[in-house]
Amino acid sequence: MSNCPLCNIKKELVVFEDQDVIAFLSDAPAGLSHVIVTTKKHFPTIAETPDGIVAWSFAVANKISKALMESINLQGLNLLLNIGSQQNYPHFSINILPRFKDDNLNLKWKPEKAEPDDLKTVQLFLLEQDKQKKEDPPQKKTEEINKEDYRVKQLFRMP
Amino acid sequence: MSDCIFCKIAKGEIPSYEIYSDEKCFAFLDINPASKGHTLLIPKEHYALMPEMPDELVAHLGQIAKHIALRAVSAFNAKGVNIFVANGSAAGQNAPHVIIHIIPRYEGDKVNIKLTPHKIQKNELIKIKETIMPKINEVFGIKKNNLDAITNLLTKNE
Repeated sequence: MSNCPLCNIKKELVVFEDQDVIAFLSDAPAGLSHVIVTTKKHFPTIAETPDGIVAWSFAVANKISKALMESINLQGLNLLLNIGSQQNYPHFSINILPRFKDDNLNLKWKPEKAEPDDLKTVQLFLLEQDKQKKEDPPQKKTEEINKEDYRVKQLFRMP
Repeated sequence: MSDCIFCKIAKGEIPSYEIYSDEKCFAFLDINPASKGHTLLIPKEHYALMPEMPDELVAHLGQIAKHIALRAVSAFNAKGVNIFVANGSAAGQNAPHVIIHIIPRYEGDKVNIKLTPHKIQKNELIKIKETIMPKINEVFGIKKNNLDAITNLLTKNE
């Protein structure tokens, strides 16, 4: 998409790319050495991104996390994948955020004890969704399914 | 790990509100949730940090996280979801086992997960890139010889 920032990444900031996935240093970073893993093709959210490409993106994010842990003096590392109202870009992406002491990153929530009855209801609703999905499998294009198989295969070939 | 609560939950030795399970991973509701539907997805095998996990396992968990997140969106009409992993206490990790948090987001909720963009000079970014590239090439199995060949190609193109 021509006006999507993640479809127009500056070449000099790219740290990894293959035919499906591209990773780069954010030029609007939330913290030092903020790396974003995204897809070559424009997928608006994770919902439209084929499972095989989601899987490969996570594998790439994990490989880059390892590399960051070994090359910069970080004290922690977050992965953050935002969906829907939470997205910073209109394109599927995974944020890799190295953490440093007093870095002022805001990634917190206040845990609040839930009542067992409420948890039970939430569980039932979520399991019900799963059942509906199984009864009504998503229609996939053959091309996509082949792509996924190929992706998964390639994953196991990686060193 | 025998004394890890999360290993026990994954084995069913400690009861939980199970959402999903397969041979590699287990998902259940957080009993102290950040929001309605807050789910924890964990590998069944014990790993303390995600970067210690095999990439194939991380890939599998990522796919499962996608489907759990989308389930929460359709079940509760969430406006968004954060899929969040903390490695190390500086990143907010407070359990000895890898956890993928799946946090559905609603209008007016109290969750404070937000990325604020900052300005950065281009030369600083290039410096960071130079620092991290050798290890990145190493983890992707790009050998030094190939790298020299690629560098030569790039200089030719410039």
